Amino acid sequence: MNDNQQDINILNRIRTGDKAAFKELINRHKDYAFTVAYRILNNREDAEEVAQDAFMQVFRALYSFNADSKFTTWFYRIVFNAALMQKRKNKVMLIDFETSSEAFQVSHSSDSAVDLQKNERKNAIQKALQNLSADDTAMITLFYLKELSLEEIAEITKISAKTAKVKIHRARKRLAEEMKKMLNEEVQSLL
Amino acid sequence: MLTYEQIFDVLDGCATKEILTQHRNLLSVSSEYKTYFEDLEAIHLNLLALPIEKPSVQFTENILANIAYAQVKKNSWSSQLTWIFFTIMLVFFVGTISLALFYFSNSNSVIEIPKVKNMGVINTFHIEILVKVLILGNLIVLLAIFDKKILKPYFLNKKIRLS
Repeated sequence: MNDNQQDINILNRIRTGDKAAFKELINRHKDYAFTVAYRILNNREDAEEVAQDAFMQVFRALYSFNADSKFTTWFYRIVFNAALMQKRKNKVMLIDFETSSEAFQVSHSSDSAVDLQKNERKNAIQKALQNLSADDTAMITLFYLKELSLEEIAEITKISAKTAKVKIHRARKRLAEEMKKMLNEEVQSLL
Repeated sequence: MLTYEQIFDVLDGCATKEILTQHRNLLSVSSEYKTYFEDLEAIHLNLLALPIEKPSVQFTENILANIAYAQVKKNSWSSQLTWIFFTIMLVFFVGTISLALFYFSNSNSVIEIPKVKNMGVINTFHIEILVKVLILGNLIVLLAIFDKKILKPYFLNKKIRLS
C-alpha cells in the first residue's frame, strides 16, 4: 500500500468518527507541514499556528476532498496558501534565525572541522533562504522537501508545470546570488 | 558556457544528452565554468540535506483540543437555528393544508372569484390555467431547493464514503 492509499484509508476512518485516525494523520504530516510554513514565514510560532490551522481546515473539509486526487497535494496547497496569507498579514518579516540555527546546531553538533564547515554552510543556506521572497522560498522548499514532482508543485501553487520549473530555477539562482552576497559581506567585515 | 537553467537541469538529472556532453567538455576545459558549477552543485546538495523542522511537543494535542472545542461549538442550539426554523415552518404548512382539506371536504359553500367591473380582459382570462402555471412554478422552485440542500449533499457524502 503506497503513502497516498494509506492517507485515504486514514481519511475514511476519520469520516467514520475514528478520533485516533486524525491523530495518526497529524503525526504523519506535521513535520512537513510545519517545515513548509516555517520556511515561508521564518517564525516558529506563526508557522505552528499556520500548520495547525491547515489541519483544522482538513478536518472541516473532509467531505469536499476528492479521493481520486493525492492527499498531500491537497494538504500542501492548504498549508502553502495559509502561509502566504499569514506572510501578507505580517508584512514585516520577522527574522527568527537565531532560534532556528541554535536548534539546528544542538541537533547536529559535531567536533570535526569538516562537519563544522558543513554546518556553517547549511546555516548560511537557511539564512539566505530567509532573505528570499516568500514565493521563491516556497518553490525551493516544495521542490526539495519531499522531492515532489513538478506536476505536484504546479498543482499546489496553481501554476503550470513549465512555469513551476522556471520559478524553481530562478529561485535557486537568486539563492546562489544571495549566498555570494552574504559571503562578500562577511569577507568585507573581516577586512 | 551553459545557462543556469541548463546547469540545474544537469543537477536535477533531466538534462538532454547534448547538454550533458557540453557540460562534461566545459568541466574539463573551463576552470571558470567548473567553479560556477561547483557553487551551484554545493547549493543543490545543501538544499537536499536541509533538515526537516520539528513543531512543538504539544502540536498534535493542540489541534485535537481545538477540534473538540469546535465540535462542541457546532452542536450548540444557535447553529441549529436554520433547521429549527424550517421544522416550525413545515409544521405550520402541514397543519394549514390538513385544516383546509378537512374543512373543504365538509363544506357546501362555493367560493366565487370576484369579477372586476369594466375589465373584460381580466374577467375572461383563464384563471385556472394561471393557477396551474403558478403551482407548477412553485413546485419547480421547491424541487430545486430540495435538490440543492438535501439530495446533492447526501449523494456527495455517499460517493466519498464509497470511494
